[in-house]
Amino acid sequence: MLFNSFVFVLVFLPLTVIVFFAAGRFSRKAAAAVLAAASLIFYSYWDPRYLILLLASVAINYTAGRAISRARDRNLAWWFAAAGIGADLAILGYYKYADFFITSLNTAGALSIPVLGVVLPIGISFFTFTQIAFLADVYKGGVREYRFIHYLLFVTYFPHLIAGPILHHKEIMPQFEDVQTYEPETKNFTIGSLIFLIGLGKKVLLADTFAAYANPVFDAASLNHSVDFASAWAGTLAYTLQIYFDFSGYTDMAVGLSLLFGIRLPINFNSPYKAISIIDFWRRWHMTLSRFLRDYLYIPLGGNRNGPLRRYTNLLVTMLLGGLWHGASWTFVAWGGLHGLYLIVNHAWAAVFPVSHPNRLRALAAGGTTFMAVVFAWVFFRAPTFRAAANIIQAMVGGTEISTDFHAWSAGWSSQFGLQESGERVAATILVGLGLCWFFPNSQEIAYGLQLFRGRMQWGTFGAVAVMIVILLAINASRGVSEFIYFNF
Amino acid sequence: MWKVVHFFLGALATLVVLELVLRPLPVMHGWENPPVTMEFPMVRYLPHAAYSYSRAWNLLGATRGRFNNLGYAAQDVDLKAPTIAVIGDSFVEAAMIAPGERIGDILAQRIPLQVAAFGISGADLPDYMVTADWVAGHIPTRMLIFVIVRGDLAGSVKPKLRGYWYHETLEHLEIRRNIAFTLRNTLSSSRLFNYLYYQLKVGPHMLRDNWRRPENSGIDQFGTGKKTPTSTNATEEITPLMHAAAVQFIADAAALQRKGVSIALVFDADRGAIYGGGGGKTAQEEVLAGLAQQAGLRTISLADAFASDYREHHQSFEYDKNDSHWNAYGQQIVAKALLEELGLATLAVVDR
Repeated sequence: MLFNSFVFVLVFLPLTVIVFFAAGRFSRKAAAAVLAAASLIFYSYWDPRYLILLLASVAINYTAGRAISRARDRNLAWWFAAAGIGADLAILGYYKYADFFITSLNTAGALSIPVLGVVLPIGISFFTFTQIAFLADVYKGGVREYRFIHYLLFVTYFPHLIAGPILHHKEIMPQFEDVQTYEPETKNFTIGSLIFLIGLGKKVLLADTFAAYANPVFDAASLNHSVDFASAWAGTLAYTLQIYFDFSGYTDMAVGLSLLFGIRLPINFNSPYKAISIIDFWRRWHMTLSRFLRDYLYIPLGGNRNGPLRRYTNLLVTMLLGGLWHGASWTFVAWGGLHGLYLIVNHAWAAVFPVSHPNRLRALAAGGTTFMAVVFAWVFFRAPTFRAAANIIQAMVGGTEISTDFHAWSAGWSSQFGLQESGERVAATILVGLGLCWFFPNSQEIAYGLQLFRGRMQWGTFGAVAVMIVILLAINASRGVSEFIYFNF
Repeated sequence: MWKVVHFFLGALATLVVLELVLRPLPVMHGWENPPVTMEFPMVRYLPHAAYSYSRAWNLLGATRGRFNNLGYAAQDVDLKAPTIAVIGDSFVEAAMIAPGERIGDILAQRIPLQVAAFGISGADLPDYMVTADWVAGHIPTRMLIFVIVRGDLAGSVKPKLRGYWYHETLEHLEIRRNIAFTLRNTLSSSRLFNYLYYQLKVGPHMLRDNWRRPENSGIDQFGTGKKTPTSTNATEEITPLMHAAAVQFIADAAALQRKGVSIALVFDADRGAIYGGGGGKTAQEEVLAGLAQQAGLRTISLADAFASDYREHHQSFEYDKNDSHWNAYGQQIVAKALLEELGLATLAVVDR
């Protein structure tokens, strides 16, 4: 079920909210069970067969977690943890990477092993990582709560199940325990629906608009058609905006939805394109993934404890695996590797030229450089092949035709890419999108900054937000199904 | 209780603001139908009223104009001038295309004779016939060209909100009309209603539009969702009632021709089949063209015109990837085919 569909907003969500709070009046356990059951229905709507996989994964990890917590010695606990995490990686490896490795082997060794044609179950990367973190924390003794219904809900909770944020049990399980969670609160409805509206607006009005500009350019590049300088930049900048508005929009919707149930999810984006360094970027972009990679990969690898060379190696390995987590393709690995290199350069630079508070000019230069580096890397993230990425980058650096006649390019853009919009309009829309990223507050700043949530104003605001949500849903539905980019990961 | 009141006040205030915001924008408006009368039995729009047309949610590609003296999105019609009438539905109305680029306008530029376009969105064969009867009775008509497109025959036997359809009685087919669009006409004065109803096409179907995993496939990574028309022949079934409707329509057209008006039937092609390298004739065309030829009516298949042009230029004829109406280029191809096949230029010379 998609967050941006009528059936979700008008049927599934109101029913779930009503039944959840009704059950909460009698029993917290019953309310948690209602939410868990709703989450399973939500997941199975995509394809009920994969519900078994999800439940099997939950059962394996819960059993492993209990076994670790009850193990008499650390050695035994380690084996249980290794078995649980090994099972997680095996499942993820089979469903997400089996065909990738077979294809890679075939290419490298001129073999002809048949691919398995495995379908990628939706959300598998997210629910696997969530549970790996759980097992690691159980092993470290950081878990106190083992109620099965809470664990099931923690993993399957529908606002985060499919595309995150990647939750940490410590920030969610206590909320399931809290009595206040089960009591409806007007402020939560108002702020939650407003954040949901902002996320929906990002997806419907912005992300899908930029997708229409980016897709034909990358499609042309993947077909080896010539892409000119301006079109390559327009397509890449459009994708830069698309992925931000798409993913942060999804996260906003998840955060907003969760707030309706009184449960606060962690922030996942904090104006990433305002970053003034790559280190800063990764503190603002997909923050829950960065946290996961830091806590469960980078630090266990040794972090920065064994000298700069080891630190840089750890960084590179972490980012390469982070890239591979995004998708079973070498282009994602390249994207991760590129960011790994950026981070190494950034850390090395900071070590040689330490600046604690850069002045405005320096911050502007640093921000511009960071943004360009991020944009450049997105080419590998979006392009389906290295050939396509090379075509785009070649055009971006002036390796193909550079038209000095903007109007001629503008007119040609429409016919070349089959769009109704002129290049001028596309350029203007991209500038507006960049302006929104650079100069406007982000969702949480807007939602919590507005003073519309006091007294009777709250219900008026809620009514206004509800109308706008329906209008945006109608706009979205008028264009057909539009899924979120991160559903693929 | 006050909570509910405030909720609805907030919702109402938002609707008012949206209405005010949409007022100056080119949201679809002006497309109200006056009631049909004995004097004007055909479905049309309000004569001389201003209209604006846009289909996209973001109001891109909007066109604005004014309906003519008879209530069609076309040039004014001189009721005394010798005329070639082009009758059809939204393909002839072509509201999404700028005035001057529509079939009627292109023909008018090429023929020194009045060309009057009578296109109404949603019209089908019985609507065409009611219009044709009126035109033949009120304008000195040299030729009536019926532009017949996909779904016209199927739509002719289904009751509809506005317009006419063939109704099966015990002995024969009869044309029935429905004028129950008063409520919609009233609501059409709201830009917000028009935006939701006409542009976004809000309706119960949206509850069904959801996302499930397509059978035997994974996630369509970075799917562009590009749609092109697909061949329809395989699913197009001509029912006995549709066949009877076709017979009735051709009989009525032949009767008009016997009164001295030259009749031509122009058939749109299955363009999806053409893009796939196929023939492009529809099952509907096979039936209607066969009957028309037996009745001595002229027929023009656009399949050859579209196919040969596509082979040469590889340019599509659709308005956009989600809208199979002819674009300006498609309108040119159709107009060119009409000029060539019907010898319209010659007709004009003779008339002069």
